[in-house]
Amino acid sequence: MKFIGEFVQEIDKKKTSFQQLFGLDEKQSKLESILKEELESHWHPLPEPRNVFTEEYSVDSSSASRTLSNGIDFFIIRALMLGTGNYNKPKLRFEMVKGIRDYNVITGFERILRDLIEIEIVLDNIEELPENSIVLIDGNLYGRFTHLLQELHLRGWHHLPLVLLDAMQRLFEACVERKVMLVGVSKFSKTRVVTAAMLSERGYDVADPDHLDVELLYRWKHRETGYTTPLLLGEYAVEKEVKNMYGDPDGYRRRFFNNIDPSRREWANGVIEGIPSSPAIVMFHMIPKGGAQPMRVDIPACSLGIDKKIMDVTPFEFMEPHTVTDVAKQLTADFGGRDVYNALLYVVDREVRLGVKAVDTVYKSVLGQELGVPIEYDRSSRRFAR
Amino acid sequence: MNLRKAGYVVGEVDTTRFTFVSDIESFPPRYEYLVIPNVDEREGIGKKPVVVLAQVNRIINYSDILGEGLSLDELESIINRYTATTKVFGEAKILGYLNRRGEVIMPRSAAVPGQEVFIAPSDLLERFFTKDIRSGIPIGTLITRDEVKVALDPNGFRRHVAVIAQTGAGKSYLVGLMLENLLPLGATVIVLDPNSDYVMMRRTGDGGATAIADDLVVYRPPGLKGRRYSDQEVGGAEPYTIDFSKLNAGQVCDVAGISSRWAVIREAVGDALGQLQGIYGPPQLIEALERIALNPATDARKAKAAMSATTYIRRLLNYKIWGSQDIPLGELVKPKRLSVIDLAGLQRNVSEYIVQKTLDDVWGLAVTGSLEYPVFIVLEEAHNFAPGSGAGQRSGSSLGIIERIAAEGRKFGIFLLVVTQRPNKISSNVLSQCNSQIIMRLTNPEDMSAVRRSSEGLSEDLFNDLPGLNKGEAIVVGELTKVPTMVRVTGRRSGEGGSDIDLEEALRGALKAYELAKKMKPEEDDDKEYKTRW
Repeated sequence: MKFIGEFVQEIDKKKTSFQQLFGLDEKQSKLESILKEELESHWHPLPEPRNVFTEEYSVDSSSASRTLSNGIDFFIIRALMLGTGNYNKPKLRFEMVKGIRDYNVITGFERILRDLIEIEIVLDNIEELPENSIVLIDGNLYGRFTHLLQELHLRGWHHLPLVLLDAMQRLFEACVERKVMLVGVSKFSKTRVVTAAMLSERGYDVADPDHLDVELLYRWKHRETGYTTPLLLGEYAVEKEVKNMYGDPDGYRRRFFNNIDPSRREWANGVIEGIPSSPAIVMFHMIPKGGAQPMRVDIPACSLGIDKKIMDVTPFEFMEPHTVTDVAKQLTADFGGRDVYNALLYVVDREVRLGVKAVDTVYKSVLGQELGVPIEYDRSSRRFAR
Repeated sequence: MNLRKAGYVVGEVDTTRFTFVSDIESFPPRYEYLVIPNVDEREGIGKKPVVVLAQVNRIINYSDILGEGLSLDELESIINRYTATTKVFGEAKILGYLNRRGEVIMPRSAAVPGQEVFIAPSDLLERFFTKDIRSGIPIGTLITRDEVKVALDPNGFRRHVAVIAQTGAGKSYLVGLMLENLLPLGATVIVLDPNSDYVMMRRTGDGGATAIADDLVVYRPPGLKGRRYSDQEVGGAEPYTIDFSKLNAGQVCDVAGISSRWAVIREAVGDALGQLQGIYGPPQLIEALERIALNPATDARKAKAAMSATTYIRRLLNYKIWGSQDIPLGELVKPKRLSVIDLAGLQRNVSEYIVQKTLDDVWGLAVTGSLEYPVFIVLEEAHNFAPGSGAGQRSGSSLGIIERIAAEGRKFGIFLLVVTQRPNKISSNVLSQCNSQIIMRLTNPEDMSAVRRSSEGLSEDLFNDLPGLNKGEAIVVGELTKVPTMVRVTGRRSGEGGSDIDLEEALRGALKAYELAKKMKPEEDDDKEYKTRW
C-alpha cells in the first residue's frame, strides 16, 4: 500500500508524545493527580437497571443537502419519534435556499433545522404521551440551548436560532405540564465541564482546561461502571451575556440578531429575555458497562423537580447523586452493548437514517416531478451522488 | 378476474426476472406463482397487454436494525423494547404468457416498476402447465397449489424419458403412478425391475385389486428364496427361466463372469459347448470341460484353461434360473399390457443377460416390422444396466442394446423410461437421448453435474432448486409439459414395492427374536460361544 512506510516512520518519530495522549505514560502532572482524586470522589456506582417509566420514547433526525447546478441548495430534514409498543411518528421538512456561498452556513443551517425538528416532533405529539413517560433525544440539550445565540448569516433565516430556542422553552414547559421526563443522551461528548467543575472545587479557576471529560474517564474509569456526580449547568456557556439578555433583550438582539426581519423583533426580544429564566440543565456522564464508552446525559432541572433557572446557577454546581437515580436506572436497563448504547436510540437512529441512494433517486425524482423542472446537481455534488 | 395482490414490481426489471416488494403478512411463499397483468408486449409496431406468469424463486426478509453485527445482548436489548420492522422483498423469474393458441411465449417487453403483482389464479396455472388436462397422464399437483392438477402430455413420451432422483426421493412411486395412468390409454409396458419395486401394482394400498390388475403380469423365476413379497402377495406370478442350451459361448461366459480378456478360457468354453447337443445345462457343460481338460491329446495350455473354466461354470449350478420356460415375447408386446419382469434375487450377470435378451427380442420384432404397437420399456436402476465409461464398473452385456434403443428406438416405436439414482454413473449416450426428464431431489454434486450436462431444459434456477426439493416433489422438463413444471407427485392408487421399510418396527422384531433366543439358551453356553469366537 502506498505511503505505509512513511506512515510508520512518522509514528515512530512521535511515538512518545502520542502514547502520552493515550495516558500510557504513567507520569502525571500535579493537575492530573488532582483530577484523578476528584474523579474518584465524583464517581458513583450505577443503580440496578430497571424500567422506571410508564412508556419510553426516542427521537432522532437525519438530513441531507445538495447543491443544484443553478446554485440553489436544498435540504431534506427528517425526524422520527419511536416508542415502545410500535409507536412511530415521522416528520419531514424540506427547504430550498439560494444565495449560500459559505459551506459553514450550509452545515449550520442544516444542524439547526435538525435540532429544531427533533424538538418540534416531541411538541407535536406530547399530548399523546402518558404521564411519567420518558423521552430520549439523541444529543445533548444544554449545547443546543446555548451555543447558537447569534443570528445565522443567511438572508431570510437570520432568526432561525431563536426559533429553536423558542421551541425548546415551550418543550421544557410542556414536559413539566405533562409530567414527561425529557433526557438528552449523547453517545459521545467532547465537553470539559466536569473537568472544569472539579478543578473549580479545588480552587483552580480554569475556564478552558486542557483535559476533556471523556479523556479522564478513559484513563481512570474505562473498565468500571458508574456515573459522575450530576452537575447543574446554568450560566456556564452564556455567563457574560445573561444579564444583558434579561436586562436588555433588545440591546442583545441588536448586537447579535440585528438582521432579523423587523416584524420578528418583538418576538425575538421575548425569546432572548426568556433564556436566562429557562431551566438549568442537569448533566452527568455514565459508563453502563466496563469498557463501554461514556454517554453524556442532559436533563432539564425542571423535569427532576428542581426549580433552578439558567441565571440561578453561576456557572455550575454539583448535585446529590441520587437526583438522577431513576434516569440512570432506565438508561442502564436500555443499554445493549458496544454499539447499542441505548436500545431505543439505536433503533430510531437506524430507522430515521437518510441514505444517499434515497436522496439521489427517490427524493430527487419526486422533487423534479412536483416542480416540473429537471433537477441537476452541481458537478461536485454529482461526484458523490453516483 | 378476482386477484389477490402480492405486491409491486420494483427496481430493475428485465424480460426474465423482476423484484417485488410485499409485506410480511401477504408475502407469497417460495415457488408460488405470480401474474403481472397488462404487461405491454410488442406486436408488430403496436403493443398488446399480456398476462405474464412468474414464479417466486427467492424471498428476503431483512431488518435495517437487527443486523448481524450485533451481539446477543444488544439484540435482546432492542427486541425487548421494540418490534423492529421487517422488510420483505422477493425475486421472481418470468415463465412466459399464453398466446391465443395456448402456447407459452416468453415476453419481449419487461414489466414496469410500480406495476401490481398478483397471486396467479388456479385456472390460468392449469392452462399454463398442462396441455390437455383431460387426456393427459395425471402425476399430481403444482408444488404450491394443491388445487392445480398437472398432467403429462402422452405425446411427450415420443422421446425417451429419464426419471432421476436420489434414493428415497420417490422415484418408484412416481413411475408407478405414470404407469397406472399410461396403461389405461392402451400402452404396452415392460418393466425391468431389479428390486421388486413394481410387483405390487395389482394391489391397492389396502390390499384390494387395482383397476389395472387384469392387465398386469408379474414374471419371476421360480424357486428363489427370501423375496420381499411372495407370489401370493403380488397376486400371482408367471414363472420364467432361461434355457441354458440356447445361450451361445459369449453369453455363457458373460453370465459366468468370465472376463472378455481371458480369451483362452472363453475359447475352451466354446469348444466344450461345441461338444454338446440337444437340451443341456451347466452340469453337462462342466463334464464337457473336464473331458477336454483330462484328454491327454489336449495341449497343456488349453487343458489348464478348460479346468479354470469349470470353476466359473460351477457357480452357475447355484443359480435358480435354468429351465425351459422362456418369457413369451408375444405376451410382452400385447396392447394394454404391463409386464413386470422381477429381477430381484438374481445375480447381476444373470439380470444383465435377461435385460439384454428381453431388449434384443423386442428390438428384433421392431426392426423387422413385427411390433404392432409402441412399447415403453422401464429400466429401473439403469446405471447398473447401462453404465458409463466413468462408472467404475465393467460394461455389462446389456449396455449395447440399451444404447442402441436410446439412439434409434423411437423410430421403431420403442420408448425408454430410464430410472436412476446415479445419473453420473449412467452412459451419457443413454442419458443424453432422454429429451424429457423428471428430476426429483438430488444432492450429490457429481450427479447434479451429470443432470446439468444432459438436460437442455434445466435452467440455472431449476438446477439450484434440486437439493431443496422435498420427498415427492419433482421438476418436469422437456416435452411432457409446456414449460418446466414443479410438481408434488400424488394420487397413486397401486401398492408400492419399493417403499422404505419400517426400520423401527424391523428392529423391534429383531430384538424380540434375540431375547427369545437368549431365553431358550443356557447362560453358560453363551459364555462358551463368546470365548470360542474371540
